[in-house]
Amino acid sequence: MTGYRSNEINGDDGRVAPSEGLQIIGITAGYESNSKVLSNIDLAIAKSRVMVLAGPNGCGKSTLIKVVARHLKPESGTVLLDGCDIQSISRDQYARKVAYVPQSIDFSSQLTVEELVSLGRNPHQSWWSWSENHQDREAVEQALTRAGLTDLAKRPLTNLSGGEQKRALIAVALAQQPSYILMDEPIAHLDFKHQLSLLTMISELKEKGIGVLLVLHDLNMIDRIADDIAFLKPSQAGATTLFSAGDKESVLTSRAVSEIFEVNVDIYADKSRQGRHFSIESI
Amino acid sequence: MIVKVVLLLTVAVVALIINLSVGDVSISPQSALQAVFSPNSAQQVSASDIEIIRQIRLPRVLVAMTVGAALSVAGYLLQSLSRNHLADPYLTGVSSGAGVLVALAVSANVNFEFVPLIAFVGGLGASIIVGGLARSARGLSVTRLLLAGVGLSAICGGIITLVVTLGGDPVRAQGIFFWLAGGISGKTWEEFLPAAGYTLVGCLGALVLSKQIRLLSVGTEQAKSLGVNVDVVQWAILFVAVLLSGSAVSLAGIVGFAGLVAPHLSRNLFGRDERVQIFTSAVIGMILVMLSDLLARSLVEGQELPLSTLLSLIGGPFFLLLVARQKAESL
Repeated sequence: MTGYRSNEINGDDGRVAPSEGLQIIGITAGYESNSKVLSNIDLAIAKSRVMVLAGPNGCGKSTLIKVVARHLKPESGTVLLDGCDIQSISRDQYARKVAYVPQSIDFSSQLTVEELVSLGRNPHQSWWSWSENHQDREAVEQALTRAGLTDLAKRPLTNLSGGEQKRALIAVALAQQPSYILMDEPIAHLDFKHQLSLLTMISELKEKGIGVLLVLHDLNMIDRIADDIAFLKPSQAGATTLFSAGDKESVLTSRAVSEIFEVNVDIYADKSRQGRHFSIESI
Repeated sequence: MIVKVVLLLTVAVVALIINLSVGDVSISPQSALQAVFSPNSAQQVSASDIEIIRQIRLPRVLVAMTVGAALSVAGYLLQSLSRNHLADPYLTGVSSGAGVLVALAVSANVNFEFVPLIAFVGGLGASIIVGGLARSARGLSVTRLLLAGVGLSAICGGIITLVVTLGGDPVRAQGIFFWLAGGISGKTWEEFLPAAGYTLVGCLGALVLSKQIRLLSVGTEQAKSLGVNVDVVQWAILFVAVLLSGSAVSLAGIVGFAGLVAPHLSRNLFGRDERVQIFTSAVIGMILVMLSDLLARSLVEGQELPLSTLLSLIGGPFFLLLVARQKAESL
């Protein structure tokens, strides 16, 4: 199967880059100058949609998220935020539009949940000032409510369970009031109940008009949450390329899964939630 | 909280008054205060007492306060930077690096005004070496930071001895050694004022950086995502910490552990607000060094112990206690 480009930007046909959305264009990246992890990745994340990034372990999903989050400079290629190169805008400007939810942070910090979530307002405030205006307080309150953390607002971070920690990290992102949220394996290490409650939260983000790019592994969870899917696959040459990307129905097929993950998968209709159920049959 | 801060300030004022009153010549607290605030109308205070207070004890206690505040806030900043409560200017080699250049400057008779800045350059050089050795792909390793600090301190100690001994003047050499061990007797206003100015600037700088310190406390990755220019902020924190350490070293040589004890007490007693922590660290540091100095000059009659002796005796066991309490994996 050849690589699929979800959106031809500035391509040979001369079309102009769309001014809205998060556009990943020809990204090649790695951690050392001579070893590429990703090669020539193109993707487009739109507002009000959830795009899941999936692929085998170590294929560079987190690396791609890091490039989009500006934590890693790509060797070549650009990321456009609503038409602007993200390297050309200030950190504050960027953080007002794009929030990144890391897998974990330093939870040994002495802060309370509310104080952590208040840090999400930093991109909207001057760097040295502690003063919070009405808008800041309202955003923090809303973020705590939407993450179901109102009762835990005064609790120290050191006393949170794994699920509460994840929700607190998402609440920080919500307090930023961004247009896009990037999440690296948000449901890893969570039990089923917390996995589902997190996926519900992500669906709500979409309804609020936020575009979401997240890394997930479980096919059933992917089918449940994704609007669009981008599959990454390591190539023969070593660096990972985009295997396929597009809306869920066209990309998430048993053939694609078996080619990328080297497993066989059977897909059953799941009438209870009008979706599909994926069963891995053999390795 | 306000009650606690008021109580702390009261302790500081009491310590200040005791330091002014106690000495070879005992002067009542009332007379000491009169000598400070209204020497011309203090009819019951002898001229010699006024002289002792204004020319000897007041500069000395102000030096102790400046050293305490500078070391404590520097320790607070270094602890925030390394995200470990075992860091301070002494253990990270910053003080020793500053000490080398101060020893050179004093040997060369450099003007007092420039000594804190020269100490800053020495401290900065030391922090770049130690920071470079402690930096790994996963960030700053505290074990490496402390080991590199110990190694550099040893080298600096050797260089200082060499510089002072080769200076040729045995009287001056003795003076420099006494100063390096934390001798703050005989400090003049000329020596005090520049260092106090830099300390004030450093403490204000720490307060300005306090919000960024909070952002860094949850990890550099999250801080970056919230718009923090992590590299610039970390350098700024280091610069301010080194400026403060340099000021302290230029006044009182290489004294350890004040920068370790005060921030720790402040974090445990005065809540989570970084601004309050910085302020109370400074005040606790002042009290600690004032009381150490009081003990240093009153424990042995007719003799004066260097400040570093007392602070090591108080701070050393405190450091070992912290090591014992800190889990092995977090080192």
